[in-house]
Amino acid sequence: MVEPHRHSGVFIARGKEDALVTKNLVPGDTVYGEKKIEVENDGSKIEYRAWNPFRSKLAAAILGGIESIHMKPGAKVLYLGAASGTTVSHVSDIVGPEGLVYAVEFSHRSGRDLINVAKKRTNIIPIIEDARHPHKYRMLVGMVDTIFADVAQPDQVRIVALNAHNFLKNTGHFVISIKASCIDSTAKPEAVFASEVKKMQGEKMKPQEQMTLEPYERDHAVVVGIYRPPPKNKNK
Amino acid sequence: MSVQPSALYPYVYRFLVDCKFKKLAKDFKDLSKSKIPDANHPTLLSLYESWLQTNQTKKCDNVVKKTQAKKRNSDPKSSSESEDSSDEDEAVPPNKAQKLVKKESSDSSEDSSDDSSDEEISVKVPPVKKVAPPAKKQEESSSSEEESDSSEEEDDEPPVTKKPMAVVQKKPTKSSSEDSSDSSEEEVKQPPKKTVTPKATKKPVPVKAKPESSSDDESSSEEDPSEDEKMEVDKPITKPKAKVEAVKPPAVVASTDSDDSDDEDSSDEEEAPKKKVLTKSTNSKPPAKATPVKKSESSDDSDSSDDSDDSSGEGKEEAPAKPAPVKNVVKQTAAAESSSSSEEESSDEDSSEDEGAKKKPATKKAAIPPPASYDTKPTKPAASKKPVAIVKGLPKSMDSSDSSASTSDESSDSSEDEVPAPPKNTSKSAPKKAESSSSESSSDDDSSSEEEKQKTKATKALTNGNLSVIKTPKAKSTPKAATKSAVKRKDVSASNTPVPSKKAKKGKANDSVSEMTPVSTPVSTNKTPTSGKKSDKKSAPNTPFRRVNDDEIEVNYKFSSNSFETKNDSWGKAAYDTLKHTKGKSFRHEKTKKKRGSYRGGNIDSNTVNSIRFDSD
Repeated sequence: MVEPHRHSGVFIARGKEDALVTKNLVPGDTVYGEKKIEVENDGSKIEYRAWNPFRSKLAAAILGGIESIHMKPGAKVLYLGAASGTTVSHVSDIVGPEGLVYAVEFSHRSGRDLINVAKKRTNIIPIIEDARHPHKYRMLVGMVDTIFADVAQPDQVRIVALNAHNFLKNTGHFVISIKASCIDSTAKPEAVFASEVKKMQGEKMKPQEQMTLEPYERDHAVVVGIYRPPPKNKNK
Repeated sequence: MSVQPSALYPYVYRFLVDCKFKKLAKDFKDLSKSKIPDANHPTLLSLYESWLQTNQTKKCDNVVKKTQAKKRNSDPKSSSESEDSSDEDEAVPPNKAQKLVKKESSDSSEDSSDDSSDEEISVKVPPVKKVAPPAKKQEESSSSEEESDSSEEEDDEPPVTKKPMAVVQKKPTKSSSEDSSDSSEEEVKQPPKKTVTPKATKKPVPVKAKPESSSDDESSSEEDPSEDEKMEVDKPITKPKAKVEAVKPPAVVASTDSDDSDDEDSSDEEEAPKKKVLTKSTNSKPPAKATPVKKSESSDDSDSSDDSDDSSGEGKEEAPAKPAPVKNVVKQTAAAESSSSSEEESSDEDSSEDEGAKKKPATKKAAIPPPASYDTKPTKPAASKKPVAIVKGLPKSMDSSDSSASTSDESSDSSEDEVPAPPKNTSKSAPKKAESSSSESSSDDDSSSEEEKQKTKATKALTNGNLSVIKTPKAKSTPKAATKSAVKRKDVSASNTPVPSKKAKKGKANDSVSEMTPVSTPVSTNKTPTSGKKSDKKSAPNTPFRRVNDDEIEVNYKFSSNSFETKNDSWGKAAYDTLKHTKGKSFRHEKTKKKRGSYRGGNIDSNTVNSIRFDSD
């Protein structure tokens, strides 16, 4: 039995052991060998894909109890650091056929897998470019509701800010996964996160919540915030 | 010229340890973040000892002048270069300077060196100030040799003109340094070289000294030439030798080293000023050329060694050259030197300064460039000695060429030979400053003393003398250090040289400017390339690069912990229990198992919110 999660588009498969799942946009197809769960509902079969929090920081954030991922069916998401497209495939499940996922990945090796994923999921637009140069793919990307970033670069806040300035709508949200050791492996993770948050505040990015990704990732934190918040009402 | 107290930290620390003040030493280390010096490095006591000796040998006046000159900063450096050039007469002063430098990060060393090598300093100062020239000459003459006086006199005339040239040269020198590396075109160079060389040498010298210890070599070579010159002029006079010998141990080492170090420091710190200073001292020019080359070029090490060799050869040759008969020899030596110098000269020549400077330098050059000039212009006396000097000069030149070749190939390789050894010492001393300085200085002293002896006897001693010098107690550490430094230099030079060369022309001015402000910093920068250790020492205050400084970041108490305990994640509890004990490879292993999907966390509560909200919200 599957029940919806607090975050729309995400589901929980109940059983002896619960599992986080998303509704498969392309029934019968798996992206990276994940488990499929079929549920028969009123004679029609619905297929879900298991989402492993140890393999996806977004899943780890959801399971860890993040308040909001700002991704829902029909949303447009700019995904920086798409890698092979495993998490991107789940995001494409969440936003559904009405939504769009612009998946930016600079590595050609990973980009090849990403493109293969995008071939079957039409709501994914793969972009093999350096996220530091959003002007290179500005013709491909429209305004988005949310930016998710998992780029693990020392200047990742700057990268996100550049993309936010180009593509993120006002009061749009950003979800950034921060790997402390990618910023400064000698400093305390908490200090690294604090410094990254400080940088965000200088880019019109207002952080709203922060959460550790323990135990799924080590020395990671996820920060969710809003871009160009309205004067009074900061929340979406 | 500012002193870098941090440079002394390692020695103070070691001194404390030696005195068995372990706790104090540890606290000091923590506070100063100083590195522990190598065992080979001279101790604080040995540095102080050598300083005392140098102090005694040299006059107080010299010290005062030196200090003044040093204080003037970049000028001092340039002056030091000039001194070096003039120092040819006085090789010893450089050593002192090196020692001093070693003791003190740079300024202090310079001061001490100044004391020890008053002549040099005095000379340097005058050029910078222009007022002091006579005093310098006097000092030089007093410190070491009559010849130096004569050369100085010649030089003196040019000093004023030299300054402008020096400035111009400085820029060219960088390029010229590369040229110098080419070293082998001496024929054409000889005439121009002489003029150019002085300038180039001056400029390079500072650079070399700072970046590489090779400067020391150069200085030593310079000293040798000076000694040779002195010898030639004074040969008949036993006094010079005696003086030299007496001075050598304390003064020579200190003076030569100090000069080199000073030059290096000064050059590094204030290239522009140095350049000016450089112009003053023609003798120092050849060495300077070598030094710049080292700095600027990857082959710097080899170049520096070559330069040193060349300079030594030149020095020897010069002595012969002065006599007039030596011309051929001079040419050879000139070629060796001129290769670098000529190249430099060419660059210098290009600059308008060269012409004027050349003329002036020619007069000034007497000491260093003199060989060529002498050849063309047999103005120098000492004809009687000339033959001997020539002979010496030839052998030396041969040696120098060999050594230079070897050095060029690999400074470390070359180090095996006598010639290489001195360079190594110098190189070591430069990087190690404090540590090697004493050894280098000693080596320099030895070399100078040897040179003197050789000059009197024959040039043969040079290599032997250098070796012997190395062997000398002070020098003991030098050989190893030298080899090490040589190797380091090679690496450094290889990596660094390209950049310096590029910068050379443009960078000189810029570098000089940048260096000028933080006198100590330039030295450190130079040192860093040569030897990471020294650089580290200098940067004792140095802190590793960090993007995030824990101390500077204020962490809100809400986010003070990134641990799992801060949230209520029932599903991940089991994973945390197994992963919290793991680290590194085992963590990776455990996590990989969970990635396969075998993890069972139990019930998922979709309504818990564990994130921490920021205040504004």
